[in-house]
Amino acid sequence: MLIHLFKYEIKSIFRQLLPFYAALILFALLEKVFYMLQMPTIMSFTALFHILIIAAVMVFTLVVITRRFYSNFFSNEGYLTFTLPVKTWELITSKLIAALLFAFTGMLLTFATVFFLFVTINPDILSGIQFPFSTITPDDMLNLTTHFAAFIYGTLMYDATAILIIYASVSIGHLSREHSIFCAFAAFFGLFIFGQIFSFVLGANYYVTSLLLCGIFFIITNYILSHRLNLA
Amino acid sequence: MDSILQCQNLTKHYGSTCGLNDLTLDIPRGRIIGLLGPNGSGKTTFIKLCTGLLVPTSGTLTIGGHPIGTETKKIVSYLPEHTYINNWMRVKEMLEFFSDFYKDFNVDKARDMLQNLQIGLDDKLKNMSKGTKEKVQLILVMSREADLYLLDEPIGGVDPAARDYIIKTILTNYQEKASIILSTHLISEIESILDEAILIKQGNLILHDSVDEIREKKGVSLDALFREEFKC
Repeated sequence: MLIHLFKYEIKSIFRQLLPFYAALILFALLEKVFYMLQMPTIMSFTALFHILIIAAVMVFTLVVITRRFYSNFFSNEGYLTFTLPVKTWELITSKLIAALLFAFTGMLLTFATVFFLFVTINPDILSGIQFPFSTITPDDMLNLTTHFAAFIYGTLMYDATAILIIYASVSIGHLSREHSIFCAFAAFFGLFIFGQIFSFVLGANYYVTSLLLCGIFFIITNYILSHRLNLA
Repeated sequence: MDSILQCQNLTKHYGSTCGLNDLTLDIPRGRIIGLLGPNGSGKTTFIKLCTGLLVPTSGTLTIGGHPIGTETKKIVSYLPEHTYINNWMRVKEMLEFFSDFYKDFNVDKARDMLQNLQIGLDDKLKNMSKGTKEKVQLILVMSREADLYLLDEPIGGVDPAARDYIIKTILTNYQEKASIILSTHLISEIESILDEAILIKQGNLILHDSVDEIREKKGVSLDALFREEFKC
């Protein structure tokens, strides 16, 4: 069932973010075209739009993920979602995985288009990168792999904590029938402060504290949706 | 007789307001039951408790011998008062959605009913009128071969021709071993199809008996009894 839930999450979010992804690629291509046509002024404007779209991708990814969680659970769609024969943790997990996937997609696409722009402006940049592969020792390789894995894990945990704190806040907001939005914002700031204090008191490294915080926010969301659900 | 639904002292409070008070019921299989009462009497609260959209304040509730959860959602087909279908989908995508999640969904039956109503599989749900969406939703719900159908106000707010269609669809598409609980305040429209009636007022059970018994004991039709019981 998790696979089916995931499939519909992907479909729903992708159709909303697709225009932004298309715009990102389009502007990267336009920059190349205007550069080749030697039209620097137009290219500068295109680059400016490119930067604005990068910001839009970041912001709208978060907006779409939050809106999907809210509308699929707490609007009329919730009547269907919560009567599906699936466990609540499966509903949350499918949303979380899809959200992480799109957060990564946005980041990768941004990186790819910016890199494409640099290569367009300065094709020598590639030939400038001369990595001395022959001098890499097995220890270096291990270090490189460890750092890369730590980077991926760190990014994943950062995104997961951000997404789950939103899920938990929206769920806490739902407990108030009349002031749900206000309560959701209050819960967000409350949980954020709790996260800071928790990290400070625990004194462990970021990788451990973020994992624990993810667990706490997930449990809060799961508890509210399983035991305190009240769809008006 | 084999029970499909049992509840003991089922109570639901919304803050200080009582939605349902100490309800004890035993619903047998193979019956069409009218859940009758004026607006705000607790009909929707009871149905939502049965679907898991609300969590009871106290009391027990089982469907098919299971407490409300994934197992009961597999055997309950629910038609809410609101339109819950995903607006961004096409009709065929909703059929796929129901096929993915409900093993008892009969897609051929759904296709036949849609064809009879001249609703295309490629039609977009967001372009449909409210009435057509309600018909699509009813078709989806009645195309499941469920043990219990919970229909919340299926004939409220639709024209007389649509009412006839809805009643005909309900009667011709449910399994004989299954039961239907149908909430409404439009008694005269459905009296002829009911086996049993449950009357509730301000969250309290007033009467639960077979329609024939009610007519015999009270000497009036269900509609007349309803008007007498709930007159303002």
